[in-house]
Amino acid sequence: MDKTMAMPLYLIKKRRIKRFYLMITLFFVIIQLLWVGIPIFMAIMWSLVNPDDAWSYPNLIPPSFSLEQWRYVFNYTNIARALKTSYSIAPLAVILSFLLSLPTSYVLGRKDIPGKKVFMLVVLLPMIMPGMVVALFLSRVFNLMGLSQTFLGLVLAHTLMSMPYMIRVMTTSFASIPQDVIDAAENLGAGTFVKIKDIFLPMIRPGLIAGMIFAFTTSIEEFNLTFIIGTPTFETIPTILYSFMGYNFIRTNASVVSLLMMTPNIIMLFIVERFLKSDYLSASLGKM
Amino acid sequence: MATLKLTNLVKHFDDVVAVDHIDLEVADGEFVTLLGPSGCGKTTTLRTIAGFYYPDEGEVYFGDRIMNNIPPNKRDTAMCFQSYALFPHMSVWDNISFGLKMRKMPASEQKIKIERVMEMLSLSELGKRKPGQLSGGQQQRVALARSIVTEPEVLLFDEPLSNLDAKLRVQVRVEIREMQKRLGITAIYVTHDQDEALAISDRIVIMEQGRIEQIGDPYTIYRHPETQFVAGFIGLANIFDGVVLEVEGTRCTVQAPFGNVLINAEGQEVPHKGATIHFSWRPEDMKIRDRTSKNQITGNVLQAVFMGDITDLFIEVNGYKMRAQSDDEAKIVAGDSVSFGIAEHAFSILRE
Repeated sequence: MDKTMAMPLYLIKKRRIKRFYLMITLFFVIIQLLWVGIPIFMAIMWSLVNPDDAWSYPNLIPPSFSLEQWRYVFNYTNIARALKTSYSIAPLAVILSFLLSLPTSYVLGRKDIPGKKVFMLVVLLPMIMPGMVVALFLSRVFNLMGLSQTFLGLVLAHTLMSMPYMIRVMTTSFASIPQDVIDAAENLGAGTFVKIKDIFLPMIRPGLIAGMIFAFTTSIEEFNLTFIIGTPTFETIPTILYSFMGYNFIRTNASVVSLLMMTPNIIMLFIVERFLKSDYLSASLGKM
Repeated sequence: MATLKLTNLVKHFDDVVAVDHIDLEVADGEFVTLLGPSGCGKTTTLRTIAGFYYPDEGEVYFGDRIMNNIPPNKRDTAMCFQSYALFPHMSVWDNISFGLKMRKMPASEQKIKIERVMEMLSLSELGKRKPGQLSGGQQQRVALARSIVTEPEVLLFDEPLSNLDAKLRVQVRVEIREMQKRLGITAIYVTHDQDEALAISDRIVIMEQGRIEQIGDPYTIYRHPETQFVAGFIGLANIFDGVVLEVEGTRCTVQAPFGNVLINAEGQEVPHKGATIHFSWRPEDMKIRDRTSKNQITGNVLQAVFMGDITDLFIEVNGYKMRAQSDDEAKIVAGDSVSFGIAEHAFSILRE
């Protein structure tokens, strides 16, 4: 006998609804995968194009592969040095922005100060201001202070750009710690130092790590400030990437650089995901 | 372990007076409950004892030491919070050991104490779990373990049971009381639940609007409320005004709106003849079909609510409503005319 025949009607209905939700979820997952997957796939394909064997319509993949594009980028640009510069600036910017954000986030998250909302908005301004606008005017200040064309200048610029993310995420983390827990620690004998070390820092850790990822990727991707303040003395991955765009648009080389920029970020995300529970991460990543 | 003394304690928050000139002495090892409606100042008083608030006026003494300006982490108190306030990132064991670590106790000694406390509260199996993996009752016991393991001078409870279901609440309050007795630690317990207060306390402090209304052991508080507020707040009460017509020793004849009553004010302040007084009695003091008591009242039953062991009665006597309880086996329904006797000692004379 058919199994569904024996089932009561409401169960069949329930099953149908469940299946319907599953289909919808699947649909969006697939869209998402295509959305992220197609550009990555195309970047990989373009980076492997053989210059002697053109890839043109209607071929879905290049007729033959070669590593010529990769060789070109490594031989004729400063990519190796740019990689080094990018990955030196990023950790320093992350650490600096952590140190600066920690007290700010603590006050914004836990203390009642007058004008807190306004202050919060000011802190987040760099996040909503067009990067080029910030860059144009900040470069003037940096010129005056002799920070243009210096490594320190770049670190400071990247710190500035990553701080809003850091502050935003950490403020939320600080604010979500119940006062009772802090009181309990104090009641059991914890002084200020112990409270910071044993209660605050472990409890904001998920937010802290999320903030660090944001800060790190922001720094790796930062173009505007680096371009105006740092080039030509310093080149980072994005400035090299942009040099393959615009008037000298070379898609194949740009693909190579994009992959170089993207891969470490993705690997990092997976590593961090292993350390953190994913629900932690998504909880802390909630913006505004 | 220590005595605790509050003298003339005052605490303001901006314009609001949360605690208004409170005096309280708690003996060593005594269990005292602060009871009152929300906003009565009981939690503020408790937090002032813990040191989270500094008093605006008056003193807090532990033994004979003034504690006014000592920060919470330097006071030897331990508090159980309503929200439990466990450290979510630490295991049960680490939560319990936190206070001992702060006191720089050697690890071997810590281990002995923690194991003993965990055993007492049947937490032994749960040491490695995180608070998020525990039930509400278990979390409550961890919070209790964490506070008693340090053997503080004063144990403080801020409505620790209000997040538990009714059955568990009764069970845990018995555990708290036993634990406190066994360890002999002075305890201050804040609650708005009168049953809890009556069941657990050596003495109850009834608070209202930042002031103490009455201090007494549970029996006295229930049987002899001193103010209208206390009579109305604890249990059910019939409260009426009356004029004293006659005074004979401690026995007064009082003219109440529903009729004259004979009140024996033995052990209470005897009012003067001609004075207007407030007085109260409990619904269960109205003994149904009791012909022997001095006060005889007959009323019409407006509503009878059968509760199993008793029947809750809303009755009308000469146009005035009052409440009574019947443990009589006979079924009583609305519309019945029932007579009651009230003993002359059943009344409490109340202050404003």
